[in-house]
Amino acid sequence: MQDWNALSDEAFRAAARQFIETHCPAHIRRGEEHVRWEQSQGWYKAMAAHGWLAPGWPVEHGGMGLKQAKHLIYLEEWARAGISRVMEQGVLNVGPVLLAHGTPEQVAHYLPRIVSAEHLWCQGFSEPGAGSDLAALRTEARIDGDEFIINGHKIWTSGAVDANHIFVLARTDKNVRKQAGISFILVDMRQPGVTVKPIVTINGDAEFAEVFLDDVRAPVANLVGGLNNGWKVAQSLLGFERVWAGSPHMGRQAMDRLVRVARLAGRDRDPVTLDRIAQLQIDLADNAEMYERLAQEIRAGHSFGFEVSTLKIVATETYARITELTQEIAAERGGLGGEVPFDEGTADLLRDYLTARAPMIYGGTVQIHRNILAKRVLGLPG
Amino acid sequence: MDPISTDDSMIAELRDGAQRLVADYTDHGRTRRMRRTLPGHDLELAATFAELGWFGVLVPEADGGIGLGLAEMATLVRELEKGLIAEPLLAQAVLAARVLVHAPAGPARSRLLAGLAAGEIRPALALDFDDALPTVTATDEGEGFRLSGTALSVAGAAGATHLLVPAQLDKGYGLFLLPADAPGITLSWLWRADDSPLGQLTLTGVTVPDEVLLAPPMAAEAAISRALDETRVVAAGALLGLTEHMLAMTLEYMGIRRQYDQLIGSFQALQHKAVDLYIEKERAVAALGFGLSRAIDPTTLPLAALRAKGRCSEAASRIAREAIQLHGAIGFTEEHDLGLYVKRALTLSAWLGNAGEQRRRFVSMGLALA
Repeated sequence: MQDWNALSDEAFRAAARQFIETHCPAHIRRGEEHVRWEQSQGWYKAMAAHGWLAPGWPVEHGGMGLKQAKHLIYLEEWARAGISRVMEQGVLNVGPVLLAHGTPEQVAHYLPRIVSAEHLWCQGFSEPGAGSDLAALRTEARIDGDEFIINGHKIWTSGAVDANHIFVLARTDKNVRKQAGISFILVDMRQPGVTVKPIVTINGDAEFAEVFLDDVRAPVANLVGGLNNGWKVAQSLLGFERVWAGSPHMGRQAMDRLVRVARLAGRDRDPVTLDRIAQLQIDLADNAEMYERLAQEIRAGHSFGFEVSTLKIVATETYARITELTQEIAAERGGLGGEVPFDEGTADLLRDYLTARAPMIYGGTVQIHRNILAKRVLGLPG
Repeated sequence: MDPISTDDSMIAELRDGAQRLVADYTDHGRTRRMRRTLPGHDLELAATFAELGWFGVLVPEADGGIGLGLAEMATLVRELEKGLIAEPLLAQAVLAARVLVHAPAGPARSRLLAGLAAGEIRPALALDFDDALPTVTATDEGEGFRLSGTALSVAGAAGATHLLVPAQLDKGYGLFLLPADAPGITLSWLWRADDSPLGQLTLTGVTVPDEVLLAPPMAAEAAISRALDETRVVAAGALLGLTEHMLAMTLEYMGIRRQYDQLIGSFQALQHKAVDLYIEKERAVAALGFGLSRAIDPTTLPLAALRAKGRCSEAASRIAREAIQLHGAIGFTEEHDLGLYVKRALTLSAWLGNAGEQRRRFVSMGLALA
């Protein structure tokens, strides 16, 4: 078994790059956030077959056992290659959560089935009345013998149209503080009572869905981390991945497109345009410097804290502003949808502009992260 | 040779020393009394700096200095600005000192650097506005030179013992050393936003001997250009210190000021504004770190300097005006100390190029579309 951590960062980066170039098909390298399983399963299975599917998992469970610094490099190479996320919830969240909080039986049952692509997972957290205020969730699970009976309504569930399993936060005690009465339950979606209704996004994609749960059953053995302990379990899976949300990778891809559109639109010598692009280039470079400083801390084995909220705000808002300028400098063509024709090429302006709205909302809106920073870092009164 | 040290223990020692001095010496009654006076900084404090060796931080050991790097100097001024007591270090012990350090070796240069490090010589660099070389010409008289012209922006001229004057020769600018009291020199004063003096120099047929030509054409301009960029990085440290101080003042005020029976810091609109200022400060920390990490290599120094100076100028001036807003009416008064910091931030933001000027340099380097 290859010990990836023994390689130098450069050698590991080269190996990751070579693996991607050899195995990743072009149709999932268009920088789209999500693609459907029928397009992506070949790449998923290739990653699994060659041991590149689960960078953060321990080797004995089929992972790469990467330390966080190497893990970040792998994510950077994915981003550089423009690879879409493919049914990532199992690898990203279910595996780590079970390794941290699951029973040996849960680990033995579920992890191999994620690697084999038999189980495709989605995340059942948000509800119509519980978005940023997630703890207000109303989905209920009551115990009936050795089963939970679950009723509720989940929303903004990425990948639900292709998934066959969902991990659900459900209320199991209504008589305590709202965070204290929630449980984390693994649910098989292949049963009556599970209804998946796609949500079409502002971009015309069907990456989200609503998931209706009507008297849906799950064995009590599918409870993760103990009854009424689901809030803590859920918090723990929002860890390392949050670092990546602050990386400049989305902004960099958008900047490449901005520079290209500036040339296509003939604005590449316009002083006003150049000054505004320069501002964004510098903002993006500072984002990269902030991210690199955090990555260095992680490489040195230090823990990280609320600086991830700072970076999340910086990265997502910088990315959004780049797409805004891209659309603006296209002038009248900025009002066109789809591939917009210029004299010497085409560019899709609207799609990038709209896509950039999402990261400021998911994973905690940038306003929620400002609330967190105000209270936890600046110490302002509640 | 020219270490830009990152010796953490030395940085910590300098930081501690500067913090002690700020704690002991900050007196905004004195700050106010010195406004629109000459030299505009405290000579007793400058003597203390000299005793501590701080005029020689950036002077190589071989020339009698401490031979530390820009990171140490940036740490020093970052702390000193929290008490508004960094001058005259920026103009004299950074800008003028680095011009001398980068000038060709020679007896005059060595004597000056040793005197600077000892605190006896206080040089200032004569420039025009916007970092331009001054409109001064030097005529070769066979034996010595004759200098005439004007330099309209001479920071640190007040209290300077010597002036470093770039003057046009046949083949470009050379760098000349003039005693500040040489016959034919007149200085008048503009007042910066913080009410400190900015010298405006007129030279009327000043005659000097050959040996005061410190650097011939090419070498002079190269030394000045490099020193300007190095000073931009250090000035970014000073601006960061002001930024941190104004942010801390503002957060403190938000935690004590009550309206509608609530602390104003509990209002979400104000919390989000404060967080945006904190984020801007964090960006400035990162940009200064970027600048310091790339300042030693002359090929990366220009970008390092513009990134650090641009961001820290932006952060300081933005936090300055938002700090006034968040303090409300009291922030608009002469009585409140915030205004002293705001004016200092505006002074240093503009000096050696504000954020817009640094962006202009970025564009002219072809980096906007890179």
